[in-house]
Amino acid sequence: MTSELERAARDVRSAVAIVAASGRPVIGIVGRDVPAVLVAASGAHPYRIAPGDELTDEADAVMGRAVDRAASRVLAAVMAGSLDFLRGILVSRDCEASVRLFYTLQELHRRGAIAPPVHLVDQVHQNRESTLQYNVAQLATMWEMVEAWASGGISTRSIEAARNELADVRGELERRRSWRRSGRLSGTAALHGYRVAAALPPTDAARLLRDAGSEADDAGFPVFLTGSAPLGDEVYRAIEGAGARVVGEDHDWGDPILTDRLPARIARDRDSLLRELATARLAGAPAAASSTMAARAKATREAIAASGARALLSVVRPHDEAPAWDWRHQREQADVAAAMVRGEAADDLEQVVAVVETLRAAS
Amino acid sequence: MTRLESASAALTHQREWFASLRAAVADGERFALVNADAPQEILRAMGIPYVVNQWWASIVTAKQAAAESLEQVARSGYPDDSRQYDVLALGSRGLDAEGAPWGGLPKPDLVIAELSGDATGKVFEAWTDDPSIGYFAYERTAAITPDGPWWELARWHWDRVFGPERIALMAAENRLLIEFLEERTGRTFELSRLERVMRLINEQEEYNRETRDLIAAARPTPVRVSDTIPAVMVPQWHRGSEWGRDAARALRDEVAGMVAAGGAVCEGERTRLMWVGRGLWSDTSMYRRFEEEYGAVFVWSMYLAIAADGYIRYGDDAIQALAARFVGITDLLYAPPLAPEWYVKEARTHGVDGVVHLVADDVPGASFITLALEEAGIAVLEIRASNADPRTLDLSDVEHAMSAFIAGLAT
Ligand code: SF4
Ligand code: SF4
Repeated sequence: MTSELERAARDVRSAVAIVAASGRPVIGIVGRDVPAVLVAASGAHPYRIAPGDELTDEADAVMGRAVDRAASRVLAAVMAGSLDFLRGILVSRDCEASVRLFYTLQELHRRGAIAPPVHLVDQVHQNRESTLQYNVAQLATMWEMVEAWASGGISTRSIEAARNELADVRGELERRRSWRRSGRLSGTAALHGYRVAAALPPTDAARLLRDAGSEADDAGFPVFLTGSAPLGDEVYRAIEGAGARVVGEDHDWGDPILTDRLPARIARDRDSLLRELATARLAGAPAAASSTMAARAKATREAIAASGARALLSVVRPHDEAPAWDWRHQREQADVAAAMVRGEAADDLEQVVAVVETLRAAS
Repeated sequence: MTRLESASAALTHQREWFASLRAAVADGERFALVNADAPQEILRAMGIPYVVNQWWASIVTAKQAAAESLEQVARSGYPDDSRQYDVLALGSRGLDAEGAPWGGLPKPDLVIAELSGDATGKVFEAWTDDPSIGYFAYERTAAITPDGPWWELARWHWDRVFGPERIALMAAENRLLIEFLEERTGRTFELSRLERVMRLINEQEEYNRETRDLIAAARPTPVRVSDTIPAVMVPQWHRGSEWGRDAARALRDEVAGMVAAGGAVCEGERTRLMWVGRGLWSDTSMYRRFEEEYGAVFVWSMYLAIAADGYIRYGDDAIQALAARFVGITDLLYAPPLAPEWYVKEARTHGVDGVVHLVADDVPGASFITLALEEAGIAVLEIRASNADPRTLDLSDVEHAMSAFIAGLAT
């Protein structure tokens, strides 16, 4: 039986379009590095865009074919006009595909070929004071851009209100993560929860998450998923359909969302506040495309321990380069059975399932 | 038509330089491997010898040792189908002494790169699997839209091309690199030496600029692109040395002499062409055939043109000027709107009739370059190549498409 949460997760876009039709400005976000709290504080609704179902032929012709499909699918949605309800799109530089998507969208907008304006939130990722200062300056520019798009001012008080609403959603997500780790929630359901939380207005998302409840105990074979961030829920369904459970993951549509802390207290001066926001992301779980192999291997090892996984599975789509580099050290340090499905094979769910079977046999 | 003397001299110098580098390293000198898009000037100023990663990759490729180097990468547990060119040096460590080109690349003590793409940082981090090798990374920031033609602004008003924030970040990283190098090598950085390096480079690139302008204005075209490429690139790897500056001046003089003498690659020049994207210059016979059959000559190379327009930076603060040189160097070649506008300007100043655009599928913004050229009324032939697998490019298909394109231009 399809739950309300699952139905909502499958079609967040229509729900968000209704929000926009009601007159509330909606701002699109691509990637995990754009702080949604700043957007919400402007009065606009921050909507994190997931890859759509539109055909990518036209997008491929413009952006090139050798780019992670997650980005082509977002471009295809914009080019099809499906996201015309957005006041603007904030793109993060979380990976090369996003940067490429940004350049393409910016140029298409300049040429009048697409409706929404775009802005790059250029957050970089080393643990250095100079990096932090650059990121703060970028967030200050984003602040002004968002105010202009939303036609609303951001104030200490509006940030505080936005933070509190988002914190409610976080609370629900954290509860679900603990259920998941104790075997009472599938990875697929967890993924749906994250997707809804990143896309819908916080009050709607919190209600859906609250109502969803836990699931029956399941003794499925616990697997930790690394590699590419999934386009939809197909990979999760395939793995869990084969009797395994995805008990944790390190892509940016899953558990790592919870490692980017919301600001604890809202500083009065803008600079300190932006510093806190920028630091929160830099201190969050490392992402494949923007971290060292060493940091990734350590994080994978810790996340496997925290989630109780007994195997490590990496599913890497074509043109997603970083995870294949991380793999050597991840596998060496994981301390559980490990396997990678890469390239075209990663698109073939039967092959993914076959690898899950070999992992089960090996562990 | 003989080879340019400047080209032969550059290639000879390169061999001698590499032999002396190997000797110095054998004597205990510390040396660095640097990716081409990261600043090398600080190393030059501190007297730390370095090899540019892409130059070494070109040597490995030319000596047919690329496949074996990639196998070595795979054997060490890393992908052999990602960043293939960037990773050749890493893999070439596994070549046996006889198979290694030029006696082999000595083990670097330091590696330096910019975090471009998702994996370049990891390619360089992989060197540190040997814990005696130190690694320094520069952030890669994204291009902004400049408030005017970048090729006019970049020399003096670089902050209007790249933005003060990007430059401030890279300048801070330059200072961190200096600390890192002082710690690692025991050498001391002196600002006056960097200032001298920056002066020499501006002189070198001004000569390249004169050479580019000479070739742009000459009818018929006096030199082959396959000749100017080594005559420009080898001195580029030695940027900041007197040899590099003098080599660029010699090239300028040689080209000026040819123009004055009315020299021509092809006496019957009828069609002027521009090649955009990764070149296929090793197959010189193909180009000769176009000359002979159609009087069609390629008159432009991005290596000379980017040296002419992309590198010169004047300013009082050498650390900042250096940051302004590197912070967006690849944007100038690929990112819209900077790159498309520049190719149009170069196509116009060189009076080309058509452009052959090799579109590697991993290059961002390629479609906008074609579009901008076509909108400027310049015919474009796009050739699609997979960067992951260059073997998919069939040279006879390419030649066929180019013949048809050139024949079409003539009518
Ligand atoms: S100094 Fe440079 S940018 Fe300024 S006017 Fe002269 S050429 Fe143009
Ligand atoms: S017209 Fe023919 S013979 Fe004359 S220079 Fe050109 S290619 Fe040579």
